[in-house]
Amino acid sequence: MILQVNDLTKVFKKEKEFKAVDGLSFKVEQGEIVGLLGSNGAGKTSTIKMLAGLLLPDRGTINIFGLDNKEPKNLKQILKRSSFLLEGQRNIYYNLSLLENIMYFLGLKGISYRKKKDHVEKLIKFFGLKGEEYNPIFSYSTGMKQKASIILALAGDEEFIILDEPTLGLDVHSAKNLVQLLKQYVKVYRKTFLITTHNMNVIEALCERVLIMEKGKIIKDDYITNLKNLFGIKQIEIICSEIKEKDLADLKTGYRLNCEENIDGTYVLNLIMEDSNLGDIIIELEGKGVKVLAIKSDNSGFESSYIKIIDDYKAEEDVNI
Amino acid sequence: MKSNFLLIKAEIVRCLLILKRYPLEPLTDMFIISLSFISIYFGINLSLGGGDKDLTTLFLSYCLGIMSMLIISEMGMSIAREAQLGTLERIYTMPSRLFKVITVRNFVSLLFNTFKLSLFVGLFITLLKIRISLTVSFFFILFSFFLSLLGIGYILSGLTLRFKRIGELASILQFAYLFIVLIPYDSLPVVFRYILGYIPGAMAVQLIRNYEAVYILSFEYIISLIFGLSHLLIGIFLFKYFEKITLKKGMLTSY
Repeated sequence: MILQVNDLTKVFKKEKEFKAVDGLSFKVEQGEIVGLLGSNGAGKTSTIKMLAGLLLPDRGTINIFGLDNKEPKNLKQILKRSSFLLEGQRNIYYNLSLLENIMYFLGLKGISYRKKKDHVEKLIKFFGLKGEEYNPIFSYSTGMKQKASIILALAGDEEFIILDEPTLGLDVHSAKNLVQLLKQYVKVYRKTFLITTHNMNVIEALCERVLIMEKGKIIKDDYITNLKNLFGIKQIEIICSEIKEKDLADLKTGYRLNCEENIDGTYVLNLIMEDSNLGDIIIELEGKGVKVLAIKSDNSGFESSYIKIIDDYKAEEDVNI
Repeated sequence: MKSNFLLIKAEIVRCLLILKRYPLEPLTDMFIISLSFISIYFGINLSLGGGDKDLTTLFLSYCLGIMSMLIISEMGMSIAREAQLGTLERIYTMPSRLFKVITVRNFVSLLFNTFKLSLFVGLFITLLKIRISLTVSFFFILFSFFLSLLGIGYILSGLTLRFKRIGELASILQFAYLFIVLIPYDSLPVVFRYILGYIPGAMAVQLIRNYEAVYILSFEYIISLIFGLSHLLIGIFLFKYFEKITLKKGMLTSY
């Protein structure tokens, strides 16, 4: 086992007491690629920071490689064998080049650059920054900076890699491109990964298992294939002509949907199909004088499952309150 | 041992790279250091007159003052810069802990500043024909002075880690140091000399003015060494204390 977290708790005391992490327990086995998902403020980053020793927990234990990270000696060993990408692009010296950054941080890890030269060169080529490695980071685009940060996190070739929001701040195209590269990297190098993100594409492309956090707790820990089929959910996109606000409100009482207006005046209804029948809603739309122009089906269902899990948890919390 | 060597090498290379990227910075530093000295020297000479001994004393005190200013500025600002950039967190995810990195950084900074200052020293020794005998006691006094300075540096680093913006405090301290090195201690009552002497580095500054007459086993030197060691220990203790609070509150990067 690579990571074992037991009853981890962190309380911040400002004007009010706030439990950022609340009795968290989970395990990560060797070779697993685990995603840590959750809404903003769910406690993901606090958890990652406690794993890295950047934040001291109030209660609980963290064992990485079987070593308790509370002990300074153990933490040193843990940090030698693991790598962290925190807050992406901000973790790099802008006035140094990528190669200079790599040499410096490898030095801080006690690793000679000469030992890792081949691996670093491969990584630079792999992430498409060949020819840019001698230029200062401030001359890079946002996407390049993010790639550089990831290269920096992978340069030491550690066994356990923790990536906090690897696609943060990237446009859709760059994020997709980076996910593809990470996917290939994961396949080739087969390391243990813990990845936090809001991007479902990252989770679906890279992770095998997902931990869903909300209010500092893990509310779901399961394999992605199980979660996809958990509720038998399909997401349907219906493109239609203009729909009146009153009619939309009527539909929302019977179906789980949201509506967006396209620039060309058409409307997109994103519909989560549970027990509902597609035929029923189409008949209802036509009855309201709305013309259905196209229907797209998303069979993956993971995003829908994720939303449903979070919604159900929140509803349950509301009832308990 | 090997990892320490790699850490020192990494810090030296980083300093050299920054020097290469911003070559005008040390030159402007040198210019300001020289200009300030010329102003102080001519100011004192015109108003009070002065012999060779006074010039050597003034020169040595000034060098120590400048060294203090450079190190205080470097140690006070270094962590604030890292926190602003976000690299402080990355350093914390390295097996070499921040205390070690900061310590190595201080020594490297001391090395670079000594080199920078030695250019100034060389220039003015030649121009003003200043005579300095490099005796054993001279280096021992410098040693106790640097112990105190490191202590101050750790306190500032700890304060920066906890409160992030301490630029004003660092600036005040820099000028306070310039004041300390220029105080005419000899004309003060003995009690004040010892009270002021506990200000980190001040005792060493008093001794360096008369360094040729100081024995390394003399009472003054031993007191200065004890003061230096106590400043260093207090500095390390406060740094660790502020670090613990910062990690507990999760304020590493809250710049």
